[in-house]
Amino acid sequence: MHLPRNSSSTYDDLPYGSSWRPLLDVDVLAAHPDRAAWQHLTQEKPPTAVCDLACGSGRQVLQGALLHPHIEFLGVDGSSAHISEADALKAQLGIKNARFECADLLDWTPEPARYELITCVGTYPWVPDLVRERILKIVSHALADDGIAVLHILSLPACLGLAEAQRRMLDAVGTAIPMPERVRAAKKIRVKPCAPFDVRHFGARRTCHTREARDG
Amino acid sequence: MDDIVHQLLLKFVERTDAGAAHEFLGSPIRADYFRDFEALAARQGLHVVGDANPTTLCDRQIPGGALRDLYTRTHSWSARQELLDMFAGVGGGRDAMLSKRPRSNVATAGVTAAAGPAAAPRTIHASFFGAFDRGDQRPGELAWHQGRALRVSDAQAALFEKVRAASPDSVRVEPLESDSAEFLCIHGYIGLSTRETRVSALAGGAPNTTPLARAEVALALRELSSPLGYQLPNVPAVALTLSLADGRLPASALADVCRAQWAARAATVQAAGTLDEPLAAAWAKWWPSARARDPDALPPPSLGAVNFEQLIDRLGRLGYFC
Repeated sequence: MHLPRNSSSTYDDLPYGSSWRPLLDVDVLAAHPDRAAWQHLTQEKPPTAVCDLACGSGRQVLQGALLHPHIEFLGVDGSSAHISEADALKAQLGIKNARFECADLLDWTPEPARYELITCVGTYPWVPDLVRERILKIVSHALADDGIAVLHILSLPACLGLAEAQRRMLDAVGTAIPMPERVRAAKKIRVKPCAPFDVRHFGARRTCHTREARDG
Repeated sequence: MDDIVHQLLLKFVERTDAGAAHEFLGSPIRADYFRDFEALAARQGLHVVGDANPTTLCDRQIPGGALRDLYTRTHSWSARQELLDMFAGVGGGRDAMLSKRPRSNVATAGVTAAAGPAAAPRTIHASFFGAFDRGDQRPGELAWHQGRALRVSDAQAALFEKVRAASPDSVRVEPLESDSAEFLCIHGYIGLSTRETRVSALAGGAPNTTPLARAEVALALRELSSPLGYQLPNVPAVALTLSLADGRLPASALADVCRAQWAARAATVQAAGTLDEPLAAAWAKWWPSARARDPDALPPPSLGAVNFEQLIDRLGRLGYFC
């Protein structure tokens, strides 16, 4: 997870988990119906370099490196805790074709036209406009001419279900304190008891956002 | 609302999933909506050429017919997302594919991929959609062939019959979120949903399902989204688009339904004297009655009158009918 400027400690205090998304595997993408858009990802011309922006603890990069030993993978993240964890796991697995950089995307400049595949998941909707613009600039700069970038974004109305609750929680706990304290403060919110919440609905909309935040 | 918040909170912070805590308590909170995304990408010389989900989603949800044609014909990635969002109604994410090449380079491939399922919609339907089996229907239920049923009232069943009358071959029902039948699709064009579903889901109750025509689905979504502070003019707009694409529900009739509903709501709210109140207070008043499933509980309007002619015109300008 990339971080807005001056907030990397948030993720160092409470590291964000990461996981492998099969959807972003090179072979899976190569089988996509729109695969003509990225000829480099076909078997005839496989990619040589893949970059994961805001890689978190690097699961996507490491899994990809294991599956595709002939592709060089790079993971970039603003949290030193994430990168340390990624590097440690990389060492344990003996992976040679992956590396990680701890860098703020606002300051990081990759090689031009270097990567046939750039991924950025769980980040774009959560960062300020400045960082969003920077992500797109990085993609434009670093993407090979025949490459493809996969950028996870969020949509409404499907993900709006929890937005009001999210807003109220944040109103109650504030955002100026470190994340662990924020979590502790959230637990102390005094509310009335109620019937159990159906977690299935919760899970489907876990990544909700508020339009008012964007507009405001 | 507080208890709902508390329940949500517990799910996030009383577990060890740091990611969940970040997503719900992290900073900054950002909103995103794909409508602006193409323009943002274009400013950086990038083209939104596809999506890791939508073609597959479209194959499953809209395998054929006028809506599929509309999806295939539109060159607007955002418009495609909106169409899919109306049908998918699940999840909250899309994986946008960016390229330095314009979409035209892949249009042929996309259409070719779309042509397969479009050519054999029944096969796709049979493999993915549950079929509505009238023979198994009992009073108060809409049954699926898989032995599952939606409990409905007589009035709701009657409304379903109206829906079916408007689209005689619309015999397919699919809950898009298996057990949480929040957004249902009949034949791809006429939706079944419930205005109570989201309320009951948020309140922790089992989702109820009420068959509603597409226009009412749109309004229901909007009503339920409004107390959350959103304004979703695209929802009825897309509903109108769907009806236009389908042709079996005349847009004028749909617009009439919408106008009537909005007029009734406005009159009710005006009579209650809530129009001049701050919106939050108005919603606070509405919420308890909504949770109690009071059928007369109408949420206050957030957008005022809706000019559907303007919406249709806007859709045309957005390229929905290209």
